[in-house]
Amino acid sequence: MSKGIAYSTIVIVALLGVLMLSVWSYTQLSTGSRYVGTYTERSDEDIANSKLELAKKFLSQDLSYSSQEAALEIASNGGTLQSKTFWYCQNNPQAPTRTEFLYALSNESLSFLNAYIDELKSSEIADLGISASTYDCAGIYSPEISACSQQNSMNCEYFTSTATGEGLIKVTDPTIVSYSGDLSVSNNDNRIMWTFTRLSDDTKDSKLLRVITSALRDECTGPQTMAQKLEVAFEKACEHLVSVLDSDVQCSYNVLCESTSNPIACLNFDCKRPEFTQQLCFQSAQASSSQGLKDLINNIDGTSVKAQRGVQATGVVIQFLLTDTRYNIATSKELKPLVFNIWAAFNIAADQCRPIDITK
Amino acid sequence: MKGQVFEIMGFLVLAIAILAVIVLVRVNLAGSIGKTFLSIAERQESEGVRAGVNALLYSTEEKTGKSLLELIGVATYVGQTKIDFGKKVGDIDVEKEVQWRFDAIYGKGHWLLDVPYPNVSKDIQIVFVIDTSASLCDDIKSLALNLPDMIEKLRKSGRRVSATIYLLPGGAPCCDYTISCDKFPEKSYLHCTTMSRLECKSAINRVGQYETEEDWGHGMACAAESGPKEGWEKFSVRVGIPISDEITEGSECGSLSSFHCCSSNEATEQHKSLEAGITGAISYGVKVFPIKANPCGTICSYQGEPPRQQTDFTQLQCDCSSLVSDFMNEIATKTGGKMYELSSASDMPRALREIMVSNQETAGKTFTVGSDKPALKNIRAVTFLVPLPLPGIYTKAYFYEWS
Repeated sequence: MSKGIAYSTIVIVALLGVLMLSVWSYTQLSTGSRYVGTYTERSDEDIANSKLELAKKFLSQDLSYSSQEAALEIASNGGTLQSKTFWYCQNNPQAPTRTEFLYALSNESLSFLNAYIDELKSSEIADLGISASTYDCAGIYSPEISACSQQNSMNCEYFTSTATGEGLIKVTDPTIVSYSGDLSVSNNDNRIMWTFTRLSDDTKDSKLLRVITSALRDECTGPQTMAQKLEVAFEKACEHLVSVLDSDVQCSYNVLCESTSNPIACLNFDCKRPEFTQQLCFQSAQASSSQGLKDLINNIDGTSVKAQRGVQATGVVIQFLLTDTRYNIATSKELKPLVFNIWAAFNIAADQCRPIDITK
Repeated sequence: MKGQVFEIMGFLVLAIAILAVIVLVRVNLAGSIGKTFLSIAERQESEGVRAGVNALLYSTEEKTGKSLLELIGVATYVGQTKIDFGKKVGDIDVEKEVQWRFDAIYGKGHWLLDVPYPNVSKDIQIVFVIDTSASLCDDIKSLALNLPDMIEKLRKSGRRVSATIYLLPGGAPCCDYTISCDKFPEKSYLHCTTMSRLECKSAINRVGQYETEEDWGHGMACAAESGPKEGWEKFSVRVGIPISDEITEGSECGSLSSFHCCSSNEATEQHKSLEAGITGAISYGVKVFPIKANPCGTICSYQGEPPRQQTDFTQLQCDCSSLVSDFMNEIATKTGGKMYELSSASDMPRALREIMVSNQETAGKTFTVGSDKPALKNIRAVTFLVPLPLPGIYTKAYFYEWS
């Protein structure tokens, strides 16, 4: 009897053991299932954050496209927001100031960036639950002026742009996360800063007009007509502009008006720009004073470019196109090189052989 | 005996319980752990592929300093895999750049990248510059009859097309109407204006006498500068269409007694006007698609003093036809457009339709690199958005990888 009870006890104990083992196994199974979820599923926050990172990358890319597109447009305008920027007006050099140039780039970049952001609303990005609001300011930061003044552009082939202000990137699906910080990108392979700085420095001394008058002087005894002499002079001017920049830049020109019989007919329009008074929306270390305007020098080796009274003169309006073939820039239309245009309106004396004493 | 029965039953129950636990563990625990491992492995594989592709697409191509994703976006947008980044950087073969990087990570023949061209539809803004001399009477009539309907149809199909017509100074009396903006009813997408003088910053008139009603060179320069009535939009396709049957400033040179075709020499006033048109168009990103009306045959206009009906072109105008083609081809080639030649005014709708269709953004080729997907293989796929230089336009990149 006691032997039977002993066996029964063993069986009961064993059953209890099996029961405990079953409970333990079940617990382990539940834990395993939980781990499956933990391991294999991403949380809503992870998904939203990765979308936010994607949006930041894409908006930075848009900022870069905007700045590059703005650079092309401002270069095409001649460095300002005006569609034609006269660097020489009525024989006076008037290169845009650095502040005016940066202001133009900043405004145009912002305008393009906000156009990109507006288009997001109807894009695939919006379908992902991503939205963005427009920015208030696009900052444009150039390399050091000293780097951009060099003949070698090596250290001035980029500029940095930022987007600051009220811009907000928001993700609403699957959960809400947002980013209200600034954006910043480096725009490489673009020599607008270098081109502008080199041309500004060159204009301070009226060098372009000096080259033109000097070339006319060289041709003064020749049998050519004034128009032919001017063609030679403009070719020389182009050579000069290429020498100011480098051999990757191609120069061409377009004579918009040329009149010897009635020079006033060409110059009877207002090409003088008012003094630039706008403030930049960003802090620029290089935004210097209007030194270019202050340094107006109108002398040419002791002679004046202005026509003398009674001497036959020619009124000229000309556009120089400086195409930088070093880099092609991707834009919303195609890949194209930076083309920096400068316009000049001047009255040139035909009789350049006769020395003119400016002290009188 | 009773104890033995209990004993046997007890062991039996124990055996069944142990078997149940074994079955439970076998079926559930092992299965669940297996599933967990499988899920984790799959997740790791998929994340691994995604992370790998991510790393590669955001890696920088050394010569351009651009990410591979940006290069793919540009290649897809311009519709070619070899991109000219200028003298310093040279040509970049995006296909090759993608190929060697992905081969290094996934192995040759084990992956495929497909980036279809996005469905892009940009606004088309057209500026017409129209010769208003009598020989254009029938062509302008045909334009006025067909243009509004054509634009309206395109707009209804979702294309945003608008046109501004610039009539050159002049305006000949035709037999049944006078060339003027009255022929073109004002609509939100169609405007007409007469150029009183061809003076703008891009084309300040040279002092001298010349025909303005045929000066579509300076006219194009001024039209490009002024833009359409609503102004040039930032990302539109800009199209310029000069319509004439003569060269800029007129085909006939010389005095009344000895008229001859003008020279094609670059020094002539006619060619300078053409150059002004080319420069103006290029400055504003306008592609020029000149329409050359037929300068031979008959016309019907009232000319002279007193006005009387004329029925013939001059023979000289007809003889100068090839010069007109040369001028128009030059401006078309240099601005990225194409010349259309009409044999009669009834060809006008066809030419207009072709110009509008050719300027709609058409689907480029799909950017595909890698090997064809194999059958009967376990293929892992990830999808990425690729930004393009166009605002609001993205395309998807599909990446497939297999062992």
